[in-house]
Amino acid sequence: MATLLALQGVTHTFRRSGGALVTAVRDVSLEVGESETVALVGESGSGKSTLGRIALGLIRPDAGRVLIAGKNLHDMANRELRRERIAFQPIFQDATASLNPRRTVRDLLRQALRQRGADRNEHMRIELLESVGLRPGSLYLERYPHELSGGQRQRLAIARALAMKPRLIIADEPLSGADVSMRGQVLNLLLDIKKERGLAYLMITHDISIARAFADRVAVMKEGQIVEEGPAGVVLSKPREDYTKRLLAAVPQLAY
Amino acid sequence: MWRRFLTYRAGVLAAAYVLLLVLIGLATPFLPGPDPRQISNEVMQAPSLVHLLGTDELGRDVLSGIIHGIEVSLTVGFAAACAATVIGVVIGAAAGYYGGALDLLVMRIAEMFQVVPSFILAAVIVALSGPGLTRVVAVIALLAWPQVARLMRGEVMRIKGLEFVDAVRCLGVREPVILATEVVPNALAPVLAAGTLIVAQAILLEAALSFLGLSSADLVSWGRMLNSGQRFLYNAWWLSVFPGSAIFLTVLAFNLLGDAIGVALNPRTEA
Repeated sequence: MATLLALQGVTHTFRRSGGALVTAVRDVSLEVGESETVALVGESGSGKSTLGRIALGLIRPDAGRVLIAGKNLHDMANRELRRERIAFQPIFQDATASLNPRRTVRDLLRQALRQRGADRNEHMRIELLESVGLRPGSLYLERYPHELSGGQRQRLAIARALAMKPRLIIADEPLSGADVSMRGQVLNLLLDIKKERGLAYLMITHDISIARAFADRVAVMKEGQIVEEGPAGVVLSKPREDYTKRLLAAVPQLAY
Repeated sequence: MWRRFLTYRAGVLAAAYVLLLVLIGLATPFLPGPDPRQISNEVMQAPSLVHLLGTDELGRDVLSGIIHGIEVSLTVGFAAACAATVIGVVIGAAAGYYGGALDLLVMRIAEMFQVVPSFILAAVIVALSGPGLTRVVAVIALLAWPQVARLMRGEVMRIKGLEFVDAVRCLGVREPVILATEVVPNALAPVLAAGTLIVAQAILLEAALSFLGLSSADLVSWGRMLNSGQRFLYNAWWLSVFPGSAIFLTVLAFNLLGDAIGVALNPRTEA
C-alpha cells in the first residue's frame, strides 16, 4: 500500500496569550496509506486538531516533516504547495464556520471546481450536491449556507471537498456540528464515499464509536504524543495503554 | 439586502432625505430664486412669504444660502469620506491580514493621528496652508482614515481566523485572492457603515472650520452662515437656527443611514 501522507517527528509549540509555551504536538510520526482510514482519537486538548492542521499545511510545524508523495509540504514553493495540497481536503467540525456566508451554494461549488479547472456547467454542480444526498440538487444552488440545516451544511462542505477529487480527507470532529439525528446520516455518507471512491481518511475524533465504525487503524493521542497505534480491532478491543482503556471505558456504547 | 434595508424605517427616511439633498445640490445652478450672495436693502427680515427663511444683515436670502450650502457640505462630506474609506480599507486590510512589522508600523501611525485632537489639528493645518475646499477635504480624510483602518484591521484579523478561510486555502487559492474575495467582503459591512458616519463627521468639521472663518470666503456654506449669524442670535434667531438645523438634520441622516447600511449588509440579519 502506497503512503499518501507521512508525518515524521512533527513538533509544534504555541505561545498562549499569557506568554506560556504549550507544546501541542510532540515528536509525532504517523502515516496514512492509500484508501486507508486512520482514526486519531484522544481527549480535547490532546493536540489532535493541531496535528490535522499541520497535515493540511495550514500550520507550519516547528520541527519535523509532512510528506506528501515523498515531498515535504512545508518546503514547497507557494505555487507547488497550492497545486499539491488540493489532494488533501478538510472537513471541519463546524460547517457553518467553514462556508463563506456570502457565497451561495452554486458559488461555493463553482469556486472549488474552478480551482481544479473543472467548472464546466451547472450539471457538475448539481451532480456533486446529489452525490452527498442533497436532492434535487437544483433546489439548493441559490441558497446561502445560513438557509440550510446543520446536516445539510455539513453535506455541502463534504461536496466541496469532493469537488477537488481529493485522495485524503482530513476530517476534524465532522459529526459534532450536526444534531444528533443527523449524525448517523452524515456518518453513513462518509462511509459510502469511502466505499465508492476509495478515499483515505484521517478521522480526528474524541468519539470512540466513530473510530469503531470507521477506522482501519487507530492512533491514540495524549498530551501531544501518540501513545498507542495499531489496527482498529486490536487497539479498540485489547488496548495496551491505560490511557486508551480509560478512553474506551468513558464512552457509553451507542448504536449509530 | 434591499429588503433588510427597507425594514429599517429610520434608515429609509434618512436615505430619502439624503437623496433629496443630493438632487437639490445637483439642481442648484438651475433653481430660480435670488443669488445667495446678492446684497439688498431688505436687511434682517424675519421669515415671510417673500423670504421664507428671512434675510441676514446684508439682506441676503437665508433659504437661498442654505440651498447653495448643500453643494459644499455634500461635496466635502462625500469626497472626504470616500478618500478616508478607501485609504483605511486598503491599509487596514493589509495590516490585519499580513500582520507583523507592517501591522505594527501602520497601527503606530494611525495612533499618532488619533491621539491628536482632530479639530485642532485640522484648524492648524488649514490656518497654515490657507483655506480652500480641496485642503479641507484632504485634512478631513487624513484625520478620518485611521478609524476605518483600525476597524478594518480588527475585522480582517477576526475573519482570517475563521475556518472558511482555511477551507478555501486548502482549495489552493492564492493568498491575495483569499484576502480580496473571502476576507474583505466579509469585513466590509461595519466599515462601510463607519464610512457613512465619516460623511457626517466631515460635514460637521467643515461647518466648524467655516464657523471659525477657516473655509474659503467665497463659498456659501452652512458653517459660515452660522458664523455670521451667531452675533445676532437674540434679535435674528433665523440666521442661526436654520443653518444649524440643516447641519443637525444632515448629520443625523448620515448617522442613521450608516446604521441602516450596517444592518442591510449583514446577511444574517432577519428580514
